[in-house]
Amino acid sequence: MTEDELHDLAPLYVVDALDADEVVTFEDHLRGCTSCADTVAELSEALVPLSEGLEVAPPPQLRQRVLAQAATSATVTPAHRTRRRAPVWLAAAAAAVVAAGGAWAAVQWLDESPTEQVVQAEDAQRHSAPTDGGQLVVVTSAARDRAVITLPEVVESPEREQVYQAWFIGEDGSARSAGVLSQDALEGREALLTGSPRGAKAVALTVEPAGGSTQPTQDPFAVVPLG
Amino acid sequence: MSKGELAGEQGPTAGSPAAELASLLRAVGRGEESALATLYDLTSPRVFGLALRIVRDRGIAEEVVQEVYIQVWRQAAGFDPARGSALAWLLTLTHRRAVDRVRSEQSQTDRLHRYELLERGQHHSSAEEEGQARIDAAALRAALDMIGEPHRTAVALAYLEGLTHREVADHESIPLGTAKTRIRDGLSKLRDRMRGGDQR
Repeated sequence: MTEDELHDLAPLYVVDALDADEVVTFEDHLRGCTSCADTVAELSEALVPLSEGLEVAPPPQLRQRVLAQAATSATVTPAHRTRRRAPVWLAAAAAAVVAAGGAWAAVQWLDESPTEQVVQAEDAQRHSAPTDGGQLVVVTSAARDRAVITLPEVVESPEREQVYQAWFIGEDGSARSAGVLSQDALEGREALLTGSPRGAKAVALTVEPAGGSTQPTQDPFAVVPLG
Repeated sequence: MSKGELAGEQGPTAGSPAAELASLLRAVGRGEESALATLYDLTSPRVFGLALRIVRDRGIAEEVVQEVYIQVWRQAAGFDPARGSALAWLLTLTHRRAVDRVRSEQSQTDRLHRYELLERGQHHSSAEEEGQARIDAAALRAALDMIGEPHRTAVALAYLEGLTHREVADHESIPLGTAKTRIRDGLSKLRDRMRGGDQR
């Protein structure tokens, strides 16, 4: 698709009129295109009048359900955390946070976070493995071509100057980095893995030096088989 | 011709409803549950109304509302008022989730059929839906009508029925490129109208 054709998708994206695969293509473009980000922001604003006059009071019990669920869900964004769950994992992976937070600011108008997209995908598949602290879960979506890891409730902290790193393990046992788990991921217990899960037969976690490694330097302390 | 400046471009005016929502979202981002409750009270009829208009099922619309506010709860700290209004963000989240539900649960044929019934005013299987349809007919059409045909139908099919641009093209028996252009031009008209909002 040419640059112009990509720009032309912006209005269709705003009204959610793109097919699923086009959404993925456009969002990849949107992350790096300020012109499209502006268009998306402006057109989203222009659509607001279309739902004026449609107001319907939701049933009162819904309010209770929403607030009850919020009370038990961790917020996943890193800023100004005042009273959410104290991080169970040590803040050793702080260096990796910056990239994740920055992306959000630039692409507020992106779809629900990429993490949510994978978890909510129609073809989402849940894989899990027990650990001492609870279930370690990986959700994969072939349509989204991405995977999300959800950490157990309680996990040992990495040592100072160390991080947890995720890996896609191939049929032949080869390891492909799926990213270092950021502070955000450790606190929110959820992270979008880097790269495609395609061809991977498992996701493994290892302890690596701060900044991560290109290949695992230790045996994994947790493995989730896929499929 | 300096009308190009959006009212919201410099951020909402202090004390305005838009500023109130933005400040509530910031509080939600700090994990304040009471702010979420207030935000819910102020905006949930709009969110529920839009979801209901698209999914046409109260149970599903309620699920959409719940998902939207939990997503807001989880992601509000990432919201930047300089990049858009709180209401536009909420409605964007709502629309995406509602459309996802419609696409996964109803066939294209069902949605098109329903749209045609609505257009002819024959889709009244209950008093509630009849009331809903009347609301649609009034306020909504005012906003849509200023777009003008043929763009109006293209935008309505996409935004309110959750059709993809391909489905819009099929429904209107027009080439895909034409469907895209109609949606794009319709939105441009809405945007221009908003920029010149003081003339309304």
